[in-house]
Amino acid sequence: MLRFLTRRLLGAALILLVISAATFLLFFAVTPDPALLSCGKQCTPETLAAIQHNLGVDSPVPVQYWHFLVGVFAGRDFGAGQHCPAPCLGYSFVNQQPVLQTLLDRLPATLSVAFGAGALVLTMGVGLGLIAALRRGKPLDKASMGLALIGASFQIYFFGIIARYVLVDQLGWLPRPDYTPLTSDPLQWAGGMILPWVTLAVVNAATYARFTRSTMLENLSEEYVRAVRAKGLSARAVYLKHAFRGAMTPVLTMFGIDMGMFLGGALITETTFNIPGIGRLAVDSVAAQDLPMMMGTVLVASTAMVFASIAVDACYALIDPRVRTS
Amino acid sequence: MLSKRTARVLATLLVAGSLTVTAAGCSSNSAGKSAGSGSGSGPGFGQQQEAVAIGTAAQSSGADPAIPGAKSGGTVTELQRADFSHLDPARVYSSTNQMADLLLTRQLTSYQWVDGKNTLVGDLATDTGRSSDGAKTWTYTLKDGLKYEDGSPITAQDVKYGIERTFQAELSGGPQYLQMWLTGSSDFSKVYPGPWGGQDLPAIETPDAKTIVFHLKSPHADFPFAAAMQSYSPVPKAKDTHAAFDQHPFSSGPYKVLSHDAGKSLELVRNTYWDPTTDPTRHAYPDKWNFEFGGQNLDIDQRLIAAKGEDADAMAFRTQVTPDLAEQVMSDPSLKSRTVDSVNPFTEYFSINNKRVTDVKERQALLMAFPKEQVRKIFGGPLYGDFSTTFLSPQVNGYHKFDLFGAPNTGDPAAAKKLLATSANPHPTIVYAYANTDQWQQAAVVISNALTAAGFNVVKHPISDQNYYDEMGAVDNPFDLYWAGWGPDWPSPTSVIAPIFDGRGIAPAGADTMLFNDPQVNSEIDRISAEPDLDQQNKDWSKLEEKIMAEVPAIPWVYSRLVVMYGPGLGGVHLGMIGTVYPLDVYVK
Repeated sequence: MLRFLTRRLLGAALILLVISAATFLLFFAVTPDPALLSCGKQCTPETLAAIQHNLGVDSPVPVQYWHFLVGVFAGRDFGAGQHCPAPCLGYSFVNQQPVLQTLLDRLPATLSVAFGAGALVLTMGVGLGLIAALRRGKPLDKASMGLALIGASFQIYFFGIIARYVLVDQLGWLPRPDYTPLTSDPLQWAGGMILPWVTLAVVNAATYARFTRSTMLENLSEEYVRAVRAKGLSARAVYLKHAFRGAMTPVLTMFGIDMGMFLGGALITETTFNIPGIGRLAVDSVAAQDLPMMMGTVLVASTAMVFASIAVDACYALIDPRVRTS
Repeated sequence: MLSKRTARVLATLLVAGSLTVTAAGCSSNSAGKSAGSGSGSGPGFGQQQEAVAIGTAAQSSGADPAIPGAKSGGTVTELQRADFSHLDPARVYSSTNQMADLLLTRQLTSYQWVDGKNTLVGDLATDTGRSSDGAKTWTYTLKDGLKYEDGSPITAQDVKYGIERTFQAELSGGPQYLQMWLTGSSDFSKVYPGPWGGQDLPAIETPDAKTIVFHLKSPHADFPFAAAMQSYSPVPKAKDTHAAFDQHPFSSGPYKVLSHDAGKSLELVRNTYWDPTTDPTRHAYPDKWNFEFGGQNLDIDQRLIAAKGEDADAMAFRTQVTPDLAEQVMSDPSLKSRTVDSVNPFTEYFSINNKRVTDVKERQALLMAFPKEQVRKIFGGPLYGDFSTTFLSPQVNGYHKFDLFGAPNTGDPAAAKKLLATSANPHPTIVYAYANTDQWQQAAVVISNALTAAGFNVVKHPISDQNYYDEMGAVDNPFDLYWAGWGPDWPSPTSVIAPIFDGRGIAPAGADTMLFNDPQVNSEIDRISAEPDLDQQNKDWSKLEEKIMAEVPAIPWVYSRLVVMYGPGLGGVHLGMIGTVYPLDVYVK
């Protein structure tokens, strides 16, 4: 296991390095000069050059990337006296803050959304899928699959806005979606998260329900299930202990990818519900053309994805003994 | 005057199909009495504004006259999509940023709002300024009892230091009027690099702690208006934290920053050292201001409509009522009664490329055939703005209503055809350039049909909306007709006519998008700009505007409108000098 983890972590570091280089090239080479944005009226070449120097964008892109990498280990200083301590992931001239500081500040909100929604998606989706598979062809199967399909047909920005308008603005049944740190008031934290969680779950659970149902049915028709049935195991044991276990592996793969995406910032959910997480930060930094911050959010998203996939692989080993031996 | 960046913001936002003219860097007269609708306006609801007067020394002294029924106390919540991009006065230009700095800073002059009328009065200074040397030298005397948030006195040297900071290249983004006027150079940072290196700006003298004298290189009768810009606020040298000042400015105004969580929230509490009896322009009724950032426009509108709990005391500075909700808001009297609905200082027009369309008859035919009303309908109808026939908005001094051609708002193809028949080419080809967004695509069809009916051959040329301003603003652009907009920084015609019609200022992405260059007009601009008497100057600009309009350099379209909701718990909410809802007269009922 230790070797597995070491190997995967080294690979992850390499992937992140490649991603950072690619995004850096993309953002800094392709987008318009960020210095122009703050150059103002009658922008002279001299003023522009001074601003470029202050923003640290006055050298060729590969050199800038090198400065970025050095900054990660040694920290950086910028023209107007801004200091960015190591590990420096860049400095946001919009917020006048090191990028990392803002990212860490926004991460708890994103974690709250991701883990809450993740848990709900899994319970709702897998639960519905199990019921449907158990009652295959019966009304309950049709009902749960129908329900899942309706959920999947919604978009977050549609369902979320309608739900907020009806449940918050009109009926007042739910508190206004908002982020309160878990540590300052757990009740308020949960209250403000209900709508984002439910919305993400409703929209995403359908896929899990349908997927769980089909893999369950597939597993139930496998030879080994027939064998344990023949051995006289109870239906419950056959169903939950054997078939379910086999069906979970592909579901878990999908969940790993989704969690990676949630952790990287649920862009639309966070924007719709005004949750100050990584996703909304990404949208805001694009709108403000804050390149270092955009870069930071991309790095968080890719880190989340890479680590989610490592976690999934590690979980495989726990669920499926065959993975360990191979 | 609108900076390039500002114009770009204005252009981009409109181009993006947003109903909001969320322009930056503009100030103008505003908020006024109901006086009928603007020239050629549609079923315009709301108010019409008058221009701004220059106040006396008596009007500049004492406290801001109380608003009947207003009381102190309470907390106001302000909702907006994005955080203020800057709070450091040196970097503040956009109208929303200026709103925040109105609460945090004071200026030499400022606007007093009484009963819907705006007057420019002395703020830190005892009057709006005394000029000599043909409006080249301006002298101000500071009042007694002016204090910062730590109780230390505000001095003339601090006002000078605050202005010196705007020269510092690191503090980019702010307006550049005083810098250019004091040095006589558009590359002013070369003449004076700013105070961080220890250099002094000799063009500003401070003989004592209460007197400040500006020596300009050229006459500027509208100096008192420029002095009202938030960028020219006092900053004590000892409190200059350089780049960090942007997140947490040192307050000279009625409030100070309690906390600022960038991109999330900003809390302002009272600056207890601010003395209301020295400030004739700020009521500062609420005890506290909470700014919440991040809500989508629709969400903000719905919150303000529902007005539940604390949201009863909530407002927005510049979040336009979205077209989806406009009907609901305007047809419900209880909602309409808590809506600011005013023409703001911005004007929008369709620029004709005067380098390419050289025949004045042809330009006049374009104006005659143009379907103003059909295009406005695509952008939300009367809520979007009032039809215009001039470049000066009713909120700018020197505005007078005139319509040289009497073209109907729906366009008159027959009259246009007649004009074309007398021109050199009765079937000219017109390249119409537009941003490739939903609304502008629809507008292109409407415009093309109307012009075709008048005998033009129309070529529609879509431009990706990111590139719209660059391509349309190129000095050799291959287009004949395209949308543009302008917002003045203060309510003087100098800040409209001079920048957009001075042909010597033609530059890439410049203000003169019509590429209009008439030597006679240019020399007239020079003459009027040097006029030391403001009233005379305004009259002369009015005359020149009519003369320019006779050349049909563009097709005036609308004076933009601002329609913003606020909670039922608030009073004193009105459109402000800078084209946004004004915070200084707001109170919690």
